[in-house]
Amino acid sequence: MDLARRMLLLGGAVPERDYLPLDGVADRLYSDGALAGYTTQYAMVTKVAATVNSGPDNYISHLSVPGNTSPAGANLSDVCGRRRVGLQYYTIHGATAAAGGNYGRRSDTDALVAVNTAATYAVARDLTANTARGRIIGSDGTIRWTFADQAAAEDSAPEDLIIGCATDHLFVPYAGTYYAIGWVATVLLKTVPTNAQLQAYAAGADARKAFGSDIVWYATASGLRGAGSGPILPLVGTAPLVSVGLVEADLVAL
Amino acid sequence: MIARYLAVPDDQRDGVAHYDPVYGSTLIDGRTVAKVRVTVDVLPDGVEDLGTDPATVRELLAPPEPWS
Repeated sequence: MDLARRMLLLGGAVPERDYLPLDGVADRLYSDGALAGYTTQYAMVTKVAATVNSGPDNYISHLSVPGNTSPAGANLSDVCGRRRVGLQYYTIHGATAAAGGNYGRRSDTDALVAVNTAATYAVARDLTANTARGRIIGSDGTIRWTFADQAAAEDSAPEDLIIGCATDHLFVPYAGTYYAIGWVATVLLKTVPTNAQLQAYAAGADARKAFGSDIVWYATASGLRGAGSGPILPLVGTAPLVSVGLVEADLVAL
Repeated sequence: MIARYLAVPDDQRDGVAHYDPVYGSTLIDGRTVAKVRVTVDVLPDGVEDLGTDPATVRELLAPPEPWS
C-alpha cells in the first residue's frame, strides 16, 4: 500500500488517536517478521494509554525469535513491562536460546506504581557492546525509570513482535501470562534510542518525528480504522500487525 | 457485540467451534479461556459461561509458567 493510501486511512491526521483495550485474557497483537534482519542494534518501544494491575506475571510486549520452540521461553529475547503484584516491580529482561537469563533489570521499589497509567516502555539492545537498555517514560515526557545499561550474556536475533499476552513462536499465549493494556502504538528501531528521543515520542503522537530514519517498523491502534478486523498496516515497514480478539469497533479514542 | 468469555476444556473445542472463539490464557482448572462475540445458547458439558468482564476472568487464570 502506498503512503497516500495509508494517510487516507488515517485521515491525514496525527497517527496516534486511539487505543485498543487488550483484555489480558485472549486479546493480542503480533507481527511476523517485523524486525527481521536487524542484528547490530535494535529497540522495541511501546506506548500504552493505561495498564491494568491484573496478575502475577505481566507483559506489555516482547520480541520473539522464531524457531526457538523449546524449552518454553527460549524465544523471548526481549521483554518489557513485566510486573509482579505484591512485589510491584517493572522489568526489562531477555532469555537466551536455552531459556536462561540473558539480561534483566527490575525496579527496586513501589515507586513505579504511578506509572500504571499512560506511559511509553522501551527495551533496546546493542549486540556489539553486549548491553541492554530499558526506560519507562511518562506521557508528559518525564523519565519514570532509568538505569545503567545492563550486560547481556548472549546475542539475540528476534524477528517477531507480540503485544499483550506473552506468546510462543506461534503466537499462542503461555499459560497464565497476561497483561491488560490500552495499546496505542509500537515502534521498532534499528538503533538504541536516546532519552531525548524517547521523551519526545512519549510526549508526542508521531514516532516518525521523534525517531526519524531510525524506525524499522511503526504501527498504531488508529491504523485499525477502516480495516474492520485488520490487519493493521504499519506506517513504516511492511509486516502487518495481526489483531487477535479485537476489531475496529473496539477502538477507544484518546 | 460485547465480548463474552467461556471456559473450554480441550476435549470440547469442537463443541463450541461454531461460536468462532478466540482462545487465550489457561485457567487454574486447566480449561482455556475462549472469547466469543455471538449470542451463546446451549453449551457443551464442561464449558462454562464466564460472563463479559475480563477482570473477573483474569482472577481465574493459572499462574505463569516459570522461566528465568
